[in-house]
Amino acid sequence: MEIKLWIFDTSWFISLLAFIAVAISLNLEAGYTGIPNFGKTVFVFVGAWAAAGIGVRIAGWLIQVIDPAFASEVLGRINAIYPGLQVDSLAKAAAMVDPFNTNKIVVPEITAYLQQHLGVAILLFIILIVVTGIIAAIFGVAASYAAVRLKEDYLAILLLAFSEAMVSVLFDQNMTLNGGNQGLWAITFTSDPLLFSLALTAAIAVLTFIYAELIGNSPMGRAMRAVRDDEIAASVFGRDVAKIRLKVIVIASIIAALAGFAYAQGNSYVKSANYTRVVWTFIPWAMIILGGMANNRGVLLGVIVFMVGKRIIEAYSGSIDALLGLEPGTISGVLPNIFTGILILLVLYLRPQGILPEQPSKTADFRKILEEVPPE
Amino acid sequence: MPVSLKFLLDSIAWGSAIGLMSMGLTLTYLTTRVPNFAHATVGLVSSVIVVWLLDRFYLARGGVDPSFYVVSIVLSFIFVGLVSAAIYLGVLKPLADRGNDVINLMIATFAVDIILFSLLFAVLNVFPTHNLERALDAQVSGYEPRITIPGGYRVAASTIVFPVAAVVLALLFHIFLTKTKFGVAMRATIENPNLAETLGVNTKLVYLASWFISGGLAGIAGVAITMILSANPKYSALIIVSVFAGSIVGGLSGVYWGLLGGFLVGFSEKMVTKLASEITGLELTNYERMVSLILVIIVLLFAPQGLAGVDWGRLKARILGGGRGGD
Repeated sequence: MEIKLWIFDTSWFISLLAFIAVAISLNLEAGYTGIPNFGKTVFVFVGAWAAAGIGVRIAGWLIQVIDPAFASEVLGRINAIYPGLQVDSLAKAAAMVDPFNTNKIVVPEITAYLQQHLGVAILLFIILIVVTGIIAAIFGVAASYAAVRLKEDYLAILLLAFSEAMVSVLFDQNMTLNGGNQGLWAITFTSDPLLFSLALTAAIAVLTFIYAELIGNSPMGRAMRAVRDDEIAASVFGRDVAKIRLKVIVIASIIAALAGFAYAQGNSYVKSANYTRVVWTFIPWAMIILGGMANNRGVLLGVIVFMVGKRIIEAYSGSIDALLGLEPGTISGVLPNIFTGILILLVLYLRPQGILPEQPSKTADFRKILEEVPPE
Repeated sequence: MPVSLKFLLDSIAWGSAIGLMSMGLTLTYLTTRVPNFAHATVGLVSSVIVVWLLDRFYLARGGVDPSFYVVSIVLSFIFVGLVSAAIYLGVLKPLADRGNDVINLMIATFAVDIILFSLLFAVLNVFPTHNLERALDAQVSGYEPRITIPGGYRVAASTIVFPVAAVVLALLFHIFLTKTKFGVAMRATIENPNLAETLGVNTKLVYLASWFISGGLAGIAGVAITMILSANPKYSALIIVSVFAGSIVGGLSGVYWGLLGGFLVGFSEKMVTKLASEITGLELTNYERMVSLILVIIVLLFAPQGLAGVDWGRLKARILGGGRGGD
């Protein structure tokens, strides 16, 4: 199914919804708790990896266990195409791009199989969602554990270094994890991956928003703000600052990874080089600063305003290159990034609190509490 | 010997470039308390200067001679220093004056990074060249004079020039900090800005000067990196990991520790991956940045103050086993 409203198409809506989830999760970290997560990219990428590098392996293994006849038929076909290969594991064949690209043969077979066997598809989907969450939590702890007890500057540097080293070095160079610099086709569950991705990102975005609103006004939310505003005061009142930070990073990483998983469903092809820090770290930061830190409604507004503006600039900046007599993409390719950078600086200068500033957290009505407490 | 002398020299050159970057980063962190995420991209501004010098002057004259290094280092120091000072004056100072906290200032440097990166990319992409085929990705090292070293290898002159330059710069900077009035004012501002201001030190000027020097040092490192790799701002995303790793290993508390930390990180990136490849027989030399990341994690876990915070006397006593080591 293809949606097209003026210049906004289905993939734009998928991006919009994925960014809503990622930006709100970043807001939980940066806005509420004061964690400067400059490594958001790796957590979004981990979700995409769960759909590709990990997803195809689990799918291959699961199908081989459930339906060995189908698996051996597919493997037989692969071994006929590549006589030098002789692979006997569908999981291995599903994630291989080098020296023989069996990934692009196996994944369509698995997708076709999943469409005919709804039970297997649902089972696989549940397994992958759980796996995404587990991997994201592990990455969240690994990326921050060494610095959660230190000043926020150190946390920012560690998260940035972790993300860059993982996404643009480890995953880009290692051919086994996710097909290295070639990337992998991801598992898709339906015949209409775009529609499925749209529905999944929408569900994740809505649930994330509701969750963030609830946690923001809960005792946990107030503890998070306390950690942000005054670490020492928070620890004096018995809050374990490091534990709260870790907890928020783990939760936010799981949300970002689920958004990455859902996004990869529509994009289908997962390559680490496509997950740059500009797109998945910087732009979410721009959105929350524009909308208003520590205000989920503001962030929602920020994401929508930003995405609409960016799409319009992208759609109409193409003519600039032709106007200047340059090759396509020379100027128009960098223009959206320059605008984003200038936008951030202007918002920080003119309205640091964003479009919708932070609201005091909602607590129960004090008079009501007094009524409930019996008089002495 | 598992590594050749040529590889050793290359590693030292790379370590020196990262060291100069970490030194500058530590300096601005000490004075204005902002980790500058744009630092690596600021340094790579000098790739435009290198390409311009090479294309318009040296290739037109027939090749690179020793004056190229002096001219490119001096020009880069001044020009990139000015760019860095402009970033402080034009972006960070106004934002800090409006009451933005350190997280907002960090994201502002991130914004500067993206803008500068995009501009550099566009400039190198449309740069009109006369002698080079193309400015973007120009392989400068191909035009450098070669020096023969023992063992019969021939290395590019920059492999020798930049480590020497790093040592000279560190010495000059030391003289500046200890022998000049302004250098003493800078040290005082780092120690205690309020007290320094009361004693009549113009701290605003000190901050500006620290950004100029920091940018200048990064610019010189940028020349080295352009020569070692090629003229492309995309390397900033990779270098920034090593540079921050160097500053953290150094401890973010002293400029020379920054230089040393950066050197160690850059040097071990090359050495560790090379030795690991030799030992395991796998191709691991592409995983340089993983070494930086592991170093950062180890330092943050076991010695968050970095090299500067290690009690060297006690460590020496403990290793030698004599005296009162351990208390």
